[in-house]
Amino acid sequence: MDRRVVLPLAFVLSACFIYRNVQILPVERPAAPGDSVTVATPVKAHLIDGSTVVFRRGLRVVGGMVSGAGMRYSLTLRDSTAVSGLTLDSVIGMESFQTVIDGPKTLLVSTLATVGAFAAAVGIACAIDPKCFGSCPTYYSDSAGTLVLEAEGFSYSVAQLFEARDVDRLRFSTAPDGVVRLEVRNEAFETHFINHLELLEVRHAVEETVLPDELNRPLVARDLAPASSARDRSGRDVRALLAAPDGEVFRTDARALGRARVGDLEDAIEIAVPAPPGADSVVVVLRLRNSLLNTILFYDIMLGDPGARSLDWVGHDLQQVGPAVELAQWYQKKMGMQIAVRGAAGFREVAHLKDTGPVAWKDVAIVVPVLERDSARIRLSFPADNWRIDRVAVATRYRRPPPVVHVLTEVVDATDQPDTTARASLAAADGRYLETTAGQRFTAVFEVGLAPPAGVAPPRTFLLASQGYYTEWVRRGWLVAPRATRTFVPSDTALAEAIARWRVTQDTPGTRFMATRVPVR
Amino acid sequence: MRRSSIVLALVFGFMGCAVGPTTRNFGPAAGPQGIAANLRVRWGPKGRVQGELLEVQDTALVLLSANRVVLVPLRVIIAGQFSRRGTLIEEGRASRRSLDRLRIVSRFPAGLTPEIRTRLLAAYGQTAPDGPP
Repeated sequence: MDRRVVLPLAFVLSACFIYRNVQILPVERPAAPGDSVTVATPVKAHLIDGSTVVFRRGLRVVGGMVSGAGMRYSLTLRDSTAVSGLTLDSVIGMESFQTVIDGPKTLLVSTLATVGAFAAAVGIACAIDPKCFGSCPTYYSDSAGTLVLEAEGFSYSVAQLFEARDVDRLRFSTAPDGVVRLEVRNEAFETHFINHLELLEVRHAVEETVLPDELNRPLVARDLAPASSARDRSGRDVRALLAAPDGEVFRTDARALGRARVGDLEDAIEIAVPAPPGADSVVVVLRLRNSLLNTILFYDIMLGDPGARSLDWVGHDLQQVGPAVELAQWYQKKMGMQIAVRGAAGFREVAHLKDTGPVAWKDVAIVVPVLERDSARIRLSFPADNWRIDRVAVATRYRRPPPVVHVLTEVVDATDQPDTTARASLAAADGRYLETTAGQRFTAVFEVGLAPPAGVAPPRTFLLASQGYYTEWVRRGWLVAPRATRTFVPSDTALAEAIARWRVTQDTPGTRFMATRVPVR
Repeated sequence: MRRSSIVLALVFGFMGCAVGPTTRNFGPAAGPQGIAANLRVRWGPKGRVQGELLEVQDTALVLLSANRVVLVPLRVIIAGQFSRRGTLIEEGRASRRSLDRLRIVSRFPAGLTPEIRTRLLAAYGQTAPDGPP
């Protein structure tokens, strides 16, 4: 056959894998009296009296009124009449239907959403509590009958284009029956799209510590010691504060936080250690977690201030490469932690640690070069009060052994039933995702083999690798009281505003998380 | 002429090759009704219940089948197939995720209030839904 025909035909056949689906989204109430929401796709309105109105060509919501060409169907669907409008007071909720091409669905839910009584209850609870905040998936291990928070996964991956892999060190080191069980929870008003879970195991000497580095690679550090000096940007000696993982944590000095302005938003800690003889690098070991500054930036400034406009921003704009890249580049530059080392030409940035989340402590190792003969001077810089740092230590020896990878053996749902579909979704980093909504939980089971008797074999350290992203539910409070007239624009001004608001609130992550988390049992 | 034929073939090919539902042919998007359900069950003479999905409860589905409101516990469902959604219930088991997905395409995604339930049953001459004991 003529190649000019064969090639187009081949492309046509390959196009047969295009898969359409119908996506269902809630229709939101306008954020302010003068504001409006227009939906161009079919909308179904569920009324308090049990009847249903279908607006096949979409509708417009202005103030308390819905307008559009619709058909109202009685409870039994036997009678129908044409309608041109409704009052919002008569509506329980509205759903819009859109044809989409493949891709995990974005589901944004507010209190008007009618995705079920449970979601409605969650929305109402969230509307009542202005401190609602998100937290990404949380992972718990079973310690003698008590669930212990181990880690939180892919923090701040707030759109599919930000999908990330996280590796977290787990605290338990033994698996007496050869099985590791981790409860995975969605305790926030979010939809989680979890792509992949696997367990990494590293065997090591008793005096060694296993940690992930800033790029999620396992690293074994030895000879950990506190820094010989540590001062923050305000000149405080914070060496003793950072010497041990004891719960006494570093936070930015209140006066420095008060002085943060556009153009000068950073705090820093400068540490020094003697340069180890013959070594060209050392390892900075950190135990830290984010303050809620980041949460305010994400949820109050990025999503809350624009109100209903955030629905489009998250559901559409952030699915586009351009806006997503712009946000990612800004975020990478401004947030997290920059690690710099002093050399002949001054400090040089050598690594970046991304934000890890405000709930679980994260242990992480960062290898930095030694650029001066007698000492290594390392600067950790970050937005003012972005971190709670429990420990900074330095290791002079390290190695990078290949970990043993344990694939996910089984997923057990909340009713203790195996869920083979969920396991298949989580088995590999591919196009399949396990989607969870607020209040859902499941148990990830890994068969890791029986632990040898103590003293016979080297200790084992497990690290959990998780990959995915999540979308925030747009909260009622954000919808009814927007502060901005446009969607979020990455800028120093936005970060300065977040810091200003954070100065006023300064809840502790633990208090806020415990007060606002969604129960899963 | 030949080039235009190929272009036309490509256009029609692309149009015909997309699969999956759209808002035009997906029942819950095109009309007021909930998704169509086809349940193979361990109950009744036919061992099958077909109809419109009205409500999804935690442990049961409520269907409108042959002008009767029927409550079908998940435990009696051998296989539950749903239009354009495939088999989501097997051997009495459905993940919470599957139930959530079904709920949003049921007629009453927010659930039936007691008052609407009573009115709906009355409209079909019932005081309680049919269903296995």
